[in-house]
Amino acid sequence: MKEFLFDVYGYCVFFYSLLLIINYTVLMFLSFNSQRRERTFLSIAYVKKMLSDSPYTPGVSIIAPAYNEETNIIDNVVSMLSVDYPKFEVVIVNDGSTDSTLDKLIEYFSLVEVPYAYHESVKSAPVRRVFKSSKPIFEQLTVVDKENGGTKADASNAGINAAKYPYFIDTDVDCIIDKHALYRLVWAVLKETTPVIAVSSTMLMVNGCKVENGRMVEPRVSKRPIPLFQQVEYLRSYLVGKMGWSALNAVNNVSGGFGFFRRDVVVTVGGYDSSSFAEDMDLIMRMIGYMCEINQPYRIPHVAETTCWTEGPPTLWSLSKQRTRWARGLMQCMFVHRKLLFNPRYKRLGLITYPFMFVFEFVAPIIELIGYISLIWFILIGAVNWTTFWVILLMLYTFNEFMLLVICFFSYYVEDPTNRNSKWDYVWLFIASLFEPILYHPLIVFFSVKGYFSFLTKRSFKWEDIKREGFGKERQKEEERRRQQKGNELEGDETSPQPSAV
Amino acid sequence: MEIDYGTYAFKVVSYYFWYLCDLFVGFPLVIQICILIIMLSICVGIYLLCQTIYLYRKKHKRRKIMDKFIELYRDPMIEIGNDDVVHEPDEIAEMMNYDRRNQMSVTEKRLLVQMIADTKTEITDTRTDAGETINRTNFHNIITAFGLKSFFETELQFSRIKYKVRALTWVRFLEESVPDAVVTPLLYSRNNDLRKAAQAYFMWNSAVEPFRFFDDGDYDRYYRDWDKIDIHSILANRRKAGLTIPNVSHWVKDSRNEKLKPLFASEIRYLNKTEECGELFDTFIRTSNIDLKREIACTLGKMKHTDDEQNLVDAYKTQVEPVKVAIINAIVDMGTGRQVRFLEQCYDEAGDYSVKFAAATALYNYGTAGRMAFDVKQRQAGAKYKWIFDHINDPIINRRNAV
Repeated sequence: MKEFLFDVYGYCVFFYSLLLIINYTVLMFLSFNSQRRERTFLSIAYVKKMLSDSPYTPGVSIIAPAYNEETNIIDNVVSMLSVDYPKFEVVIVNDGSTDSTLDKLIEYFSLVEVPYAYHESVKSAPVRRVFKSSKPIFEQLTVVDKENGGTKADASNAGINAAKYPYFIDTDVDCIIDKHALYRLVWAVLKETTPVIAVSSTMLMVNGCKVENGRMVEPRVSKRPIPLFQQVEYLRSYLVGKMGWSALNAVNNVSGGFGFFRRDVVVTVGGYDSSSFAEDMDLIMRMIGYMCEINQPYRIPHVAETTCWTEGPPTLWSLSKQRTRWARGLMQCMFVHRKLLFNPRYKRLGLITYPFMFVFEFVAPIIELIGYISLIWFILIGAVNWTTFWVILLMLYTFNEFMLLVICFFSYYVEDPTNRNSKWDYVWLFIASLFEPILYHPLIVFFSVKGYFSFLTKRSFKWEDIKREGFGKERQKEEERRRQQKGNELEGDETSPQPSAV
Repeated sequence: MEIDYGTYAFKVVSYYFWYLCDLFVGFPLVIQICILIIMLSICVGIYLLCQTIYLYRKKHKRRKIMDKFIELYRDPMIEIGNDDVVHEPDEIAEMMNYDRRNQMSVTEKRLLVQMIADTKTEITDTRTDAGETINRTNFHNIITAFGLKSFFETELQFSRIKYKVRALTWVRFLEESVPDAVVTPLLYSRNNDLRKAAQAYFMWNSAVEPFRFFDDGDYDRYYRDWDKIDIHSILANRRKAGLTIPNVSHWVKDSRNEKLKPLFASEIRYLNKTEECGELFDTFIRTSNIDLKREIACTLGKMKHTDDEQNLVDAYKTQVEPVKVAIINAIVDMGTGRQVRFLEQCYDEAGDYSVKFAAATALYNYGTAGRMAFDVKQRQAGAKYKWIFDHINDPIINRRNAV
C-alpha cells in the first residue's frame, strides 16, 4: 500500500512537471509567433514624424508616485521629462513623504502652488496641494502633494485623477524610461483593430547598468547574484510568458512598475484597489472582467522591446519582502476574483488565464514545497530511485537551459535597439540559470509560501519601500574598484625593483 | 551516381532516432519521456544557439555598416540638405566620395535608406525650429545619386512582405515615387498591412481615383487608429502639393465602418472645407454614434458655421455628456456672443463635472459678456465649485492648457 501511494505521488509530481514543460513550450511557440507578427514596427523616425504632425496623436500622462525618494527624485523626474513624444505630461504624486522629496522638487523645478481643479474620479487619500512649474520649460510637470495613503495604489489613484490625457503610464519614480518608449507603446495601441485597454512591455533590471543623469547609457546585467537571478526570471517572464499570452490576448498582468492603461476604462472600474497587495493584477482582472461584462472586444498587447528599467531588490532581505508581498497579492487576487474560475462569461480570462494562474502560479509553490519536504523524507527513509531522480533532474535542467537559449534568441530576434548586451552578459545569464533552480528558486518558493501563510493568518502587513541603492551604484562601485586596482598596480610598478640591466 | 543529400540526412536522423527508441525500449515511461524531452531540448537548443550567434553577428555587422555610412555620408548629407543651391546627382556623388558604379548589397541599401531618413528628420527638426524648410530637390537627388529609386522598385517586387511595407513607407517618408504598375499588384495582397500600405501610397501620390478605397468595404473592415493618422497625413500632403482633395462629407454619411465617419467629419475642419458643413447637422441629428456627433459639433464650431448655432443649442439637452461638452466648445468657437444665457444655463444645470467645467471655461472664453457672466458665477459659487473658477483663472495652468 505504502509503495503504491509513493508511486501515485511520484506520477502526480512527474506529470505536473510535464504539464508545466508543455505549457512553457506552447508559450514559447506563441511568443515566437507573436514576435514575428510584431516585427512590422516601421521605424522610430517614421512613427515619430507621423505622430508629431498629427492632431490625432493620443496624449499620454506619466504617473509616478514618490515616497521618500529624495536621493534620486530630481534625476528621475528630469529623465521622465526628457521622454521623446509630442503630447505628454508627467504627474508626480508625493505620497506624504517625510524626507525632503517635495522640497527638492519645489526648489529644482521652481514649483508654485496652483488652484488645480482636482476631481476625485477614483478614490484616494486627500490631496493637500497641486504644484506646477513657473518655468515654461517644465510645463509638462504637475506635482500632486497628498496625504500618505499607505500604498502605491492610493498614490496612483491620485495621479489618475490629476491626469488629463486619455492614456496613462503608471510607473515608479525610480524607473528609467527608454527615450522612445512612448512611441512604441502608442504604436501598439494604434496598430490594433480592436480597442486596446492596456499595454504590457518588457521591463528589466537597472542593477549593473550604467546610468547618467537619469538616462540609460549602457544596459548591462548585474554581476551580483540576487539581481542576476531576477534578470533571468524577468526575461523569461516577459519574453516567453507575457509575449506568449499576448498572442492569445490573455495577458494576466500589466506590471505595476511600468504599465500603460486607457484612463476611461480604469476610471470606470474604480481605479486601483488600495487594499490590494497586487494592485496591478487586480486592476487588469477588473478591466478585463468589465469589458467581458459589457460584451466589448478588447486587446492587451505586449511590447517585446525593453521600455523601462527598474531597480530590483539587491539583497535577500528586500527580495523576501517583495516576494512575500507578491504572494499575498496573488492569493488575495485569486480569492477576490474566484468567480472568474471556469466562468465562460469571462472568456479567455475565465477559461484560460485564471485556471493557468491558479494551477501553475498559485498552487505551484505549495506543490514544490511539499516536493522538497517529501524528497528529504524519501532520502532519509531510502525510498528514492536514484536513476529516475537523476534523469528527471537532468530533464528539468536541460529544459531550463533550453529556455535560456530561447530567451537569448528572442532578445536578438525582436531587433530591440535597447538591447546592447555583450556576449559576456549572456554568459553571466547562462551561469545564473545553471544555479537558479537550486539556489534561487527554492527561496522564491519559501517566500511565496510565507506570503500565503501571512495572508491566511491575517498577519498585519506594513507596506514598506524596498531599500534602494540608487541607479548605477553597483556599476560605480565596480568602476571605482577597478580604478583602485589599476592605481595599486601602477603604484606597485613604480615601487617594484627595476630589473637589472644584466 | 549523385547523392541526394536531403534523403541522406533524413535517413541518418531517422536511423539515430530509431536507435535511441530501441535503446530505451523496456525502460519505464517516465524515463522514456524524460529522455525524449532532453533530446529535443538539446537538438532545438543547438539550433537556436546557432541562430542566436547568426543574429548576433548580423546585428554587429549591420551596426558596423551603419557606423560607416554615418561617418562617410552624414555630414555631407546635412550640408547638402541645408544648402539652398540645387546640386545634381553626379555632383552629390562626388561630394560624398561615392562611386556610382559601386554595387551595394540589399542590406546596405536598406541601412542607407534608414540613415537618409534619420538625417532628413534631423535636418527637418532643426530647420523647422528655425522657421526654415529643407532643400527637397537636393534630398531627391541624394536618393538618385545612390541609385535608390530602382532599389525601391526591386524591394516592392521581390522582397518579403515586411520589407515591402517598409519600402512603401520609406518612399512616402522620403517624398519619392515609384511606378504605379509596381504598387498595383500589392493592392490585392492578402496581407492586411501590405494592402493598407499600398492603398495609402496610392492615396498619397496617385492622380487617378486615389480615394476609391474608402468606398470599398474591405478598407472599412480592417480599420485601425493608425489609419486615421495616416489618412490625415495623406490629405494634408495632397493639399500642400496642390493635388485634388475629395469631398469627404458623403463618407461622413455613407461609410460602412462607424469608426471611419468621425474621421471624415474632423477632416472637414482640418482641410478647411467650409462648403461641406451644410449637411453635417442632419447627420448629427440622425446618427447615434457619439464620436461622430462630437466631431460634427467640433467641426461646425471651428468652421464658424453659425447657421447651425441655434440647432446645436436646441439639440443640447437630449445629448450625452461628451456631446454636450463638444456643443459648448462649438458655441465658444463660433463666437457670435449671442449664447451667454445658454452657456450660463449649461453651467447651472450641469450635473456632470466635465460639463460644468466646460461651461465655466466657455463663459471665460466667450468675449466680454461671457467673462462678466463668469465673474458673477465665480462670486456666487460655493466652496464646492470655487476651485473650478480658480483653475480656469490661473495664469500658469492656462499657459499649460494653451500649449
